Amino acid sequence: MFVRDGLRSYRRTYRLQEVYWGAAIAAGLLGVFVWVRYRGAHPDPALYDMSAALAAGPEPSAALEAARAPLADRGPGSLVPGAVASPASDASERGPLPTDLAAGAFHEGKIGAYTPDNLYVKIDGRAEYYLGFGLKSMHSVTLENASGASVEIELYDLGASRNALGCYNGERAPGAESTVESGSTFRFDRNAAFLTRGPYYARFVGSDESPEVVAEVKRLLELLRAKLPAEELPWAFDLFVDQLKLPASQVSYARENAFSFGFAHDVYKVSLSAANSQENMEAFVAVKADAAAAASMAKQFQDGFRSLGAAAGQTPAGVPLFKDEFLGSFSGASASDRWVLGVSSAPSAERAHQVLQQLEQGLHALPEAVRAKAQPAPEPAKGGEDE
Amino acid sequence: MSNERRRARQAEPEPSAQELEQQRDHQRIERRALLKGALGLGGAVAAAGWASLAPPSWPLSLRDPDGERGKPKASVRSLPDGGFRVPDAPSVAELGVAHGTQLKPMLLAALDALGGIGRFIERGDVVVIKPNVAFERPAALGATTNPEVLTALIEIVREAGASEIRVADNPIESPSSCFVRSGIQAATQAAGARLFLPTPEEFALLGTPGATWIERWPFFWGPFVGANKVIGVSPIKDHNLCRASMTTKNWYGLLGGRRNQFHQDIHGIIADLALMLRPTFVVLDATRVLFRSGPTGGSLGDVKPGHTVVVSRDSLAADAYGWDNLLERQGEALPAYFAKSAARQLGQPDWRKLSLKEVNVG
Repeated sequence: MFVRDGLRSYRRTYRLQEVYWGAAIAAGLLGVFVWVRYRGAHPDPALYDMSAALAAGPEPSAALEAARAPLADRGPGSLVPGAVASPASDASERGPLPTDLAAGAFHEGKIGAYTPDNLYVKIDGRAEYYLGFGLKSMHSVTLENASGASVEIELYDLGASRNALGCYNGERAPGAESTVESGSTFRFDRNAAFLTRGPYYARFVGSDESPEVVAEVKRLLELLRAKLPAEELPWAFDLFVDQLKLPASQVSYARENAFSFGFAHDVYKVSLSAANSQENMEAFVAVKADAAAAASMAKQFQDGFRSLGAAAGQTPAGVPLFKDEFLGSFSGASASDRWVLGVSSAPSAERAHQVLQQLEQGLHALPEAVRAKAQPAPEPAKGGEDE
Repeated sequence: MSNERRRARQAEPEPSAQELEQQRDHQRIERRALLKGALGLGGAVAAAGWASLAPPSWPLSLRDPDGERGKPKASVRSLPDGGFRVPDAPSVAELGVAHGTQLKPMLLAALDALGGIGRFIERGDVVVIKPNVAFERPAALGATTNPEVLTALIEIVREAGASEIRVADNPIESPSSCFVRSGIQAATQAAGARLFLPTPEEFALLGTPGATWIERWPFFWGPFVGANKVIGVSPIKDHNLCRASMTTKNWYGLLGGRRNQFHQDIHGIIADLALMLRPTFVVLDATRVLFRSGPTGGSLGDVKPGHTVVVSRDSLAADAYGWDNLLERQGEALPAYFAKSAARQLGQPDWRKLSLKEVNVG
C-alpha cells in the first residue's frame, strides 16, 4: 500500500518452477472452493439431528438410549433415565432401596435414580409437588411377575422426617386413616400403599387390586419399614400427641405455603375434625428463632386471616379472631415466646379459644429437652430447591 | 545469483544523474500519499475488526462465537392453515356426550350428535390419533387413555374409510414401556393401526406463529407427514400444576425438547398448544376419572368410573364440560388456560353457550 506502482511487475518472465507452484496453489484453492460448495449443498445429516428433541435432560445420549430401550430389553437392576451412577456402583444406584426386594413370583425390574434436576423425566407435571418438600433424590423400581402384574416402588428422600410427613399427608385422601407404628406412618388404599419413615416417603403402586398384587404391596411395605432407618419424630409430635393426646396420624407438616399463605413455612398442623365431617378445623404451631420472629409471624397470620374475612373480636386471652367471609369459620393466631400458636376454621369463637388455650397449656407442659430441640427449619429456597 | 544474470547486469549501462534523480523522486513518499495510504490501511483494519468482533446481530458482522451461524439452517415445518378442522355445520350439536359402558356405541352416538363420523373422516384419509400415554401406568389407574376407547375409535375411523390410521405420542417416561404398560401398544396393533414411537428422526422444528413459547419448537412430525386428519383422545385427570389435564393439554405429548421448562407457565403453554394444533375432533375419555393425585396417580382410590365420552371439535368446550361435570368442579373457576386460549379465539370455554346433545347408551 505504501509502495507506489506496487502492482507493477519488473519481471518479464517467470521460471517454470514458479509457474508450477502457482498452478498448484491455484488448484488447491479451487479444490477448497469446490469442497466448501459441495458440503454446503450436502450438509452432514447430524447437523439436523433432532435427538435433542427427545432429550429430556442433560443426560448423556447413552443413558437416554438406555432409557428408551424396551422393558423386555432390560435386565434386572438395569438403570433408567436420570441415572445418577455408573453401572459399576450398584449400591449407590439403588440408593436407599434394599437389595433383597425381589421374592417369590415377583422379580425386580428396572431401577431409576433421579435428582431434583431430572425428576421430571419420571413424573413430569407432578415433580414440583415433591420438590416443594425438599426432595433430595428419588429411586424407583418395578417388581413384576410372569403374568405382567407389577408393583412399582417410588422412594423419595426428602431430607427430613417433617418433609416426608408433610409429603405423605399431602397425598392422603380426606378421611383416609393412617397407622403410626414404630417410627413409621403408613396406609393402604386398594392397589397401593404409602409409607413415611425417617426422611423417606415411599409409594407402592400395584398394577391392580388382585390378591397377589395386594399381598406383594404389603410385603414390600413391611420390608421397607424394616429396612429404612427411622428418625426421631419432629418436636410437634411431643406437643400434639404426648401433651394434647391427639392421634399421631392426624399430624401434618407444611414446608411452605401453609393455608396458602406465602409467608407460612415450617408449620405443623393437626386436624381436629372428624374424618367424615364437613368441618376442617386445624390447630397449628410453628417455632421461630426468637420471640420477635414469632410475634412477626403471628401478626402475618392475623393479617392473612383478616384478608379472608373480617375481625371477629378477641378470645378472653386477648387473641384476635377473624371470621371467614365465605365459610363462616373462625381463625386466629398468637405468639408465645418462640412459638406461634393458631387455629383455623373453628366452627365457633368459643371453640377457637378452647383450642388456643389447649395449645398454650400443652406448650408450657413440654419438657425442656423438647423445647430445646424445637428449632426452625431453614427457609425453603426459591424454585423448590432444597433447604 | 547465477553467472548469466550477473553478466547481464554488468553489461547494463550505468544510470545517468538525471535518471538517478528520477528514481529517487519516484521512491520519495509524499505526505499526501502517506496519509492516503494510512487512511486506507486503517479503514481496512477497522472493517476487519468490525466484521470479526462486532456482535452477531450487528450489520455486516461475521462473528460466530458458537459456530451456529455457520450451520445450514434446518427447515421449519408448519401445520396446515386452520389446522385439521372440517367445515362448520350449524345444524348439528357442538358437543356430543354419551354415557354408558359399551364404548363403540357410545363413541358412535357422541359422533352422531356432531353429524356422524362421515362428517369428519372421508375415504382415503390419513388419520393421526393422539392418545395420552404419558406415564408407565396400567390404564386402570386413569393416568393414560383407556386402550378400549382407542380400539373403538380406530375401528370407527377405519369403517369410515380412512386409508391409514396412525397412533402417536411422546410419553414422559420410556416410550416403549409406557406404550406396553398402558395397553396402548397392544390396542393399536390389535386394531391394525400404525404405531409411531418417538425417535429422533421423527422430530422436526415446527413453526407456530403467534405462540408465546413454541413459535419454533421440536415437534413429533413423523406421524403428520401426509396426514390430513387429527384426532385427540385423552383421559380426564387432575393435574398438580394446571389443575386439570384433558384434551387441550394432551397435545403436550407432541412436543420434544426440554418441554418441562414450560411448567413455569403451564397455562401459557397450554394456550400455545391450543393454537398449535386445531384437530379434526377430540374425544374426552371419561370412562375413568383421575380426580386426585394427578397427573401420575397411582392409587385406584384416586380413580372413579365416569362411564362417559365427550366428542367435540372444540377442545376448550369439551374440557370445560369435563371440568364441571366429570371432575365435578363446577363452581370453581376454570384454570387460567381456558381464558388464555379463548382470548385467541381458539374455543368456547362456556360450553353452555354451545349446542349439546347428550345420550345414554345401553
